[in-house]
Amino acid sequence: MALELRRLPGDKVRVPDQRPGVVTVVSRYSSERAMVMHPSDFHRLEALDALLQDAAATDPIAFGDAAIAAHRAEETPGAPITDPAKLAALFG
Amino acid sequence: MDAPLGRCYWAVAPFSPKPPFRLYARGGEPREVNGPEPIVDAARQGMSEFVVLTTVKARPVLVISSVLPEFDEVLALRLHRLEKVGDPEDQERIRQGQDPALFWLSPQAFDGLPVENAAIVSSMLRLPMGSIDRRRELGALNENELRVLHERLARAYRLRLDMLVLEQAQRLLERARQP
Repeated sequence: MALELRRLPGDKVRVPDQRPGVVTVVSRYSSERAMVMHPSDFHRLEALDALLQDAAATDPIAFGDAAIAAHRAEETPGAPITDPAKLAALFG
Repeated sequence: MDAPLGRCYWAVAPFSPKPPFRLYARGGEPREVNGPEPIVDAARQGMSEFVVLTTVKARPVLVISSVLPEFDEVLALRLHRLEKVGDPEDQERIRQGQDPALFWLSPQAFDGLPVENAAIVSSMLRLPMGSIDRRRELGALNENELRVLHERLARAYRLRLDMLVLEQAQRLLERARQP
């Protein structure tokens, strides 16, 4: 799942100079608020994420005619017992 | 593997309600509603709960999860009799594990079932333990069969497991690094 990218013009924000391999952690009240990284690092992480997704992706099952028929047959009610006399005989 | 996981039991299993919904009306005939929209519209007026008349069936089910103790319920699959699969070649494919959507239950391991069955991978039910008849176990999967079945469930429902895979890989790496 690719991260959503929000683009800002460079003149709208003040960003510290980044070099590859270094992440600047922006914190406030001792909580991490944002991470600023070099584009090459970000693209490497994105590529790794895509690799993981590919590695973990499962092939969907192909439902054949027999499986579809079985599913439909067992998901379709037959003729339920509604006769009060039969119900009384069964359950009192 | 603790019961009821991987075991087969008789249970009272509902069919999923589908339109037309037959709504119970006290003292009268059920009221038919042709789709979800009128019921959703009623909910917008503050009336959101109705009694739908739905068919239940006493049937064998295969329990595929442990009991969630907080809710006392399990996930289970419906079964399909192999004799109802018309084509003998299809039956053989199911026995050989070549139909991923129908999981064969060997008659030796499921000797409580009167005939040969397969679990329908796409038929997952949520069942309260109170609707399962635990008096008699009809058969059980072994651990490996359950593992294969769970894999097929993940594939059938296209569950996203990549983060779990990543976590497990990290754990394995950490373990490998330990002296």
